[in-house]
Amino acid sequence: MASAIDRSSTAGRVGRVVFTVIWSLMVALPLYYLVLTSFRTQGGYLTSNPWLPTGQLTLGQYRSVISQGFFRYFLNSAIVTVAAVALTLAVSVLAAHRVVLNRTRLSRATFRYLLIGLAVPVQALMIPVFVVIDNAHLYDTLAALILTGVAFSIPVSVLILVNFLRVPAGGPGRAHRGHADRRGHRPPGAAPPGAPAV
Amino acid sequence: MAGNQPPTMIVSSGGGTLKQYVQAGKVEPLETALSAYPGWQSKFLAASFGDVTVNGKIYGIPVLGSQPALMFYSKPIFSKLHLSPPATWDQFLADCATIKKAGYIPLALGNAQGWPGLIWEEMLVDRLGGPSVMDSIVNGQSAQWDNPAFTEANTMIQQLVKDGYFQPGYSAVDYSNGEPNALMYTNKAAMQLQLNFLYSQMQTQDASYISQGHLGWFAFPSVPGGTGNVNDEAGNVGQYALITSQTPASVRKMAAEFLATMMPSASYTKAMLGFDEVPLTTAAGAQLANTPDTSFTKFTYNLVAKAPAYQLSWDAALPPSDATTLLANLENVFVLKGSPQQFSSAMRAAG
Amino acid sequence: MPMSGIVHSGTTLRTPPTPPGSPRAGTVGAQRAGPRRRARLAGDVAGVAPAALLYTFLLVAPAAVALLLSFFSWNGVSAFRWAGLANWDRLFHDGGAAHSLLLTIVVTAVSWFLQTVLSMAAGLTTARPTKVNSALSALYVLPLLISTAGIGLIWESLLAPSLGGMAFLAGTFHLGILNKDWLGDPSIVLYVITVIVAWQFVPFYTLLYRTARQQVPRTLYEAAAIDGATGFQAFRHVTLPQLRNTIASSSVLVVIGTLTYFDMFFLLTDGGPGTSSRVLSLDMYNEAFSSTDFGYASVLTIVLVLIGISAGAVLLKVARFSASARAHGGE
Repeated sequence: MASAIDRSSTAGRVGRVVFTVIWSLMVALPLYYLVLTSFRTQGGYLTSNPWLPTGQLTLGQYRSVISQGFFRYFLNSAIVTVAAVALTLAVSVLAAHRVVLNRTRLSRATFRYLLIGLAVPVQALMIPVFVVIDNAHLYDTLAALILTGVAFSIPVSVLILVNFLRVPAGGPGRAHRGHADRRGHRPPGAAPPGAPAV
Repeated sequence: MAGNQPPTMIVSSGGGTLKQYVQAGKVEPLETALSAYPGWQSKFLAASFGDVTVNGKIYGIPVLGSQPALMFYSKPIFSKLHLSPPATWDQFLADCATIKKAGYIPLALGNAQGWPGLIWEEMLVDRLGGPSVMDSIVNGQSAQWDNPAFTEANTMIQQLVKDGYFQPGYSAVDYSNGEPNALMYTNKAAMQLQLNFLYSQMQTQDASYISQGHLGWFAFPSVPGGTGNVNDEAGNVGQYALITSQTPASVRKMAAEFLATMMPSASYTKAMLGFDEVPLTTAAGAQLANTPDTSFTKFTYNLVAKAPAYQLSWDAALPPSDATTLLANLENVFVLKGSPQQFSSAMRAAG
Repeated sequence: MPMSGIVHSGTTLRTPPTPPGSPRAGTVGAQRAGPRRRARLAGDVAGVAPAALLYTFLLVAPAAVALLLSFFSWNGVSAFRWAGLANWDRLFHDGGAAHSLLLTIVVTAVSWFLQTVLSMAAGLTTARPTKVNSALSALYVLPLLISTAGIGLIWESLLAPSLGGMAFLAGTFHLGILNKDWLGDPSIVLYVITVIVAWQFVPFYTLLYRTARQQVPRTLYEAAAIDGATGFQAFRHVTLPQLRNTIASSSVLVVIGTLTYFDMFFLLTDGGPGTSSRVLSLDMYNEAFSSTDFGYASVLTIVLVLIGISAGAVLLKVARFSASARAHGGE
């Protein structure tokens, strides 16, 4: 790849450069604007130059965000993220493992059942999810966020895991290079199967 | 309120949503709940309870100030152009023309959410046809949407738009981002029709503009040929506490004591005046002289106290689905997407 | 919009093939019936149960509730009132819903085109492992770090007329064309939001295309060069076919995601001005929470879910077809 042949025409090369410049500006400028504006006051940001670090710059906004409980909000996000990821992985690995291990009617039917949810985004079901959560007395809790997030991630997670977890040839019970034997002992030095999928 | 764990008290403007709560049995009549504290009603201005009375029973007690509509203006721009606050609509239009010719924006507006434009509609319809037009619609007579007051008001609004008196982009600007106010304190815009809270919000944004006496105010002008009283007001008449029915009796007692003793008290009134709120208590009259922003507070209190009719903002007075239809149709009027006649027929069809 | 989870660029959406030579599933168990089979069944149930239960409780049950609710009239506080088919009947006479559906389709089509072209361009131009490309890829990925709300606020502020960043540039460089009422002009607002949404999601698809491009064997390009192919011809005859899977996977995600996307539209304009950007998901939300008509909103919910599932099914079939065409001796 390092010494790849570039047989593009001049037009192609110019086009690439033009695109790169334009797209880089499109991405970078709003980000730069964001950073610069974070140093302005509430009244000042509408009246100062939005593109140059001139005029009054202040750390006041950072201070007030922190004093208004930023760390607590961050902690909430962290808790929800960690819990949701852990729970999603746990239930999805359990289910995917079973689907791949025994391709019985039950596991295959369950797999297809879970796949239908791939096309259903959580926003479409906002209202009934609210009704369900409220009746479970979980309204306004972190648990509600976590559980809902997990439920809607299950289809994608199970799909990916099923595609990547490999079962040794000959069915379960036969030890195979890199895979565990019946008692779960793996040859030393082998990576756990399916790690990239996880 | 849709969840199963409502709080003890909720703050509401009354109107359409309150009617829904009453019909569902979710709120308590206050005469019963506050029966241990007789006389609390007389401590408030008589007009206070119109929007929280359903079937003859009062459900709310004022906890925050009244928010009437008024015109704010930039004294620097006015004095530069030798203008004074207009008292009639014709003078107002003439001033707008002068201001625009001088290169300023006559009217600041942030209509992304629709309710700032609604204030224009409310004041114009009231000046033209009086409060009975909207009152009858709220009472279910949707034929009143065809009242010529609406068509005329919408024509006047569209004329303002066509003359380019609102700042460019007014339909996407969200008032709560502070931009219309910024246009005023950066001396780009001359006037803004808004509720009284603009004053305290502008103090957060640019206190020096107010402390240097640059912000002025006047009441909405009269409209020629209109039957409405020139002192009529519109806005959020009050913000009331309602007590929810699912509250256990012991907690309800505490809420009743808090509301009945604290809300009408002189000390609470004083605190509200300190925040430039307009209290609805009778005690307020005596305390007006001692507030930090006396001239503004006196002006807005008198607007409320002297108004023969004070209409609750229509998006609160109407039931929620009619309110959203109204805002959507009015937004279309403001962007010239549809004629005044189309507005009336759309509202007729929906109601 | 990418669903939570990562789609590997080489994924074809299929179930795993039977390893050659292994006994077919089921026959193993048939030879040893009884307790062994029952144990395996119990294991299966225990394994899939947690996922299936959570999924049923919080995805399937709400869908069923939505269907049920569509036959009732409810404003959130009152009792439920039976409405029969009234809400459904309203759907077929609702000009507003038809308008929202049209807007949704337009947005989806434009988004698919815009996001595919941009992410392919961004991914392919930075695929070669040079220092410049590494820096560019890092830059291109940055928008992924910002939440939808953050992105919406940045752009709303940039595009604000008179006082926004864009207006400032227009004034400084006398570029009147930049001074449009981007979010307030009914004729362009839908396209402006589509561009902002593209800004949000192109970084993700850029990663996919970049990775996919880096996995194309160099020998293919060398062979093309020997055959005398120009850069553009190599792109058409080597790159595009090799990227077919990625194009299929990302197309599925973009289309299904955009059909039901809510967040950015709600944040920027809430359907305004008037109804010029009121896509179907906003219609649903506003019917429920502004008009407090949960019954009719549930009808729109079901419509959205059905659209999502049908689009998903159609696209998956197309993707599977193209994948099997390749497997059975395509290029």
